[in-house]
Amino acid sequence: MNGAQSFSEGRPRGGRSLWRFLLSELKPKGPLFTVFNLVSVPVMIAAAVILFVRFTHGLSAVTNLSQEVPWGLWKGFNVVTGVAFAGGAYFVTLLVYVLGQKKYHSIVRITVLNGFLAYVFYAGALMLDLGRPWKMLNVVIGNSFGVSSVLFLIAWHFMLYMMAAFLEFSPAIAEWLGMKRLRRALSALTLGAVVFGITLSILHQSGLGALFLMAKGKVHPLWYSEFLPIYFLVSSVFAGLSVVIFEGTLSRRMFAWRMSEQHAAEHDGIVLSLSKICAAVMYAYVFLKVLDVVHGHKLALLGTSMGHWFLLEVVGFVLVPLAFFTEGVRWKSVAACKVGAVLTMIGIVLNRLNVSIIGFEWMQPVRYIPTPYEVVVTLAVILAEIWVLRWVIVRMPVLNDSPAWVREPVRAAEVPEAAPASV
Amino acid sequence: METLVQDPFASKGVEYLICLAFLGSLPAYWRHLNRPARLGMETAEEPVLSGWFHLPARAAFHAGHTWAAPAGPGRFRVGLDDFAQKLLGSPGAVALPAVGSRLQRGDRGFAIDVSGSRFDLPAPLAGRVVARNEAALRDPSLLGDPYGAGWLLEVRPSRWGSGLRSLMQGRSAREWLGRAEEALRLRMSPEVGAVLQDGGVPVPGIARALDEDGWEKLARELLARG
Repeated sequence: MNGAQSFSEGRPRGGRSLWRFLLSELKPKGPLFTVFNLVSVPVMIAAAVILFVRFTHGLSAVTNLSQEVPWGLWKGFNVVTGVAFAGGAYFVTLLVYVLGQKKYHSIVRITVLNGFLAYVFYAGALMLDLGRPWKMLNVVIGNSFGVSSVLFLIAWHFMLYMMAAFLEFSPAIAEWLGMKRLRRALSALTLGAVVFGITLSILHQSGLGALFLMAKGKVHPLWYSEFLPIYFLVSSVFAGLSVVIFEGTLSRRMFAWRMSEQHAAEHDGIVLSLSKICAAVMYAYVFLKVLDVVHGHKLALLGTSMGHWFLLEVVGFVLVPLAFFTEGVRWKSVAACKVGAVLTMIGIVLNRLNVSIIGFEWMQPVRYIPTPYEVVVTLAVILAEIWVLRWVIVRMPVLNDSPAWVREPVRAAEVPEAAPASV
Repeated sequence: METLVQDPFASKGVEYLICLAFLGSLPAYWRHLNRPARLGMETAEEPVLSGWFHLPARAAFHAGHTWAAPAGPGRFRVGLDDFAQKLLGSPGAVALPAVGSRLQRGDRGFAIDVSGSRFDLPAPLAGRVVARNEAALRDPSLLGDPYGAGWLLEVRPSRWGSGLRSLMQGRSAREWLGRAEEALRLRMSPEVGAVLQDGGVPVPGIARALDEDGWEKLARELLARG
């Protein structure tokens, strides 16, 4: 219809030089005084002040972290949970490029962008937590690789995955800048980047779980399991897809004017299909959890207060959303599926916080409770990601169609016709 | 904690049963998941339209046969829907409110003139007019493409969040248009009906084709019933 047409019309960049185009793109494209802006800007300014204090006076000035509790909200929520939420990117690219499920193609770009930004911001939030963040470079430049640490592996996975996700998204940037040749070159790299990205994702989603295998005595037995890497990997599928469903709902409301007619028309069908995948994977996950409780002889622990907390997580935020997804799919109720997605996201936050914070060092007499400063910074990281996401969606062809100058043969290269057999 | 690692074989039997329960129940669960739920005697399938009238997924509809669709941050385009366009036919003139004027949802938003008869159409949203389609004012035949070149106004909604929520979209829009289509079918003369049943689609000006003399009354009636 309308809205999405500005990209399809005329020459790349409207015939303007690259610099004039970039300057014009820096200008705000919508009203400044929106509710989101009025809420998010003060939070981000407050976070900037808190982070200034954190870097000048140390972590103890603004956080409740200590030698006993070295991991807090910034790692537990931003890193461990954020990475699970980014899982939609590898799973949707797997569906589209490897399994040939082209009906999901219209959500590939927004999902990859979301995944890429989640890694940049949430994994990037690690820097806030490191005592000497500049030492991060050591794993790359070899001053001291630190190969004996699982974190070495995770750092490399994160870095390589961010590059792969950026490459996957880069044709959209070339389309935005009106660079035909660059777009063609980047599109040719897409399939390789996708396969590389999927491999890395599977490894590090489970790798984050493997990290906790090293803290066997510290994680509460109801959450500790030899199968933690498998739980993290399996749950990243429905965590990521629930975020895709939730994010799609927000995009439909906030960025409907950028959405192509095809994207808008396919929305409900895609939500139902993704919900079906979530339901099937959650069904297997529930059995895995039950198996672990029996295998680990943990039934008696279910009667304790931590056991009740565990049951709340598994029943309230895995079984209940599973029921919403199942019946939502059967009744073709997109609303029920969206409720299931939100409950699943809450469940994933609970699960990751239970493993990394609440059930971690649970026997210590002093419990870790984040300071309000930590909460503000965590919120600011999420809000900053949404700001960048919005900036990109408003300018680049993410939800809308590629510009008219993108020739068909190039587009065909972007979506391989016979990918399943060759990968 | 020692009890937790004692005798790893003590629970093996139960574990096998759990695995068997999973494998045994999975096909049944998968069948359940893929079986559409029943609404009484009917399945909860999407209402199917004949395809006479275009229903874009991005647009939301007012029962008075006007539409609104997001056109930019906090801006909506509004216009006449395909049903009204095909019912009335090509207008001779279009009357639009001035830029800056305020619209109330359901009150008169714009008017079109067809063969000397003036039809007032309701504004689908409350808000301030920020732009008018001057091209459509100069050339009313553009309304033949009601969701594209034939848009009429751009409106900035007066309340935050007052956007499209109160309008019909998706399934509810399909059901509503299906009812409007049914009402139209009931009014068809046998001759026109035969043509349409052959697979044709209504031509613009269908009200006049149905009733040369009473077309205006018929059109007003069909537009008013939503």
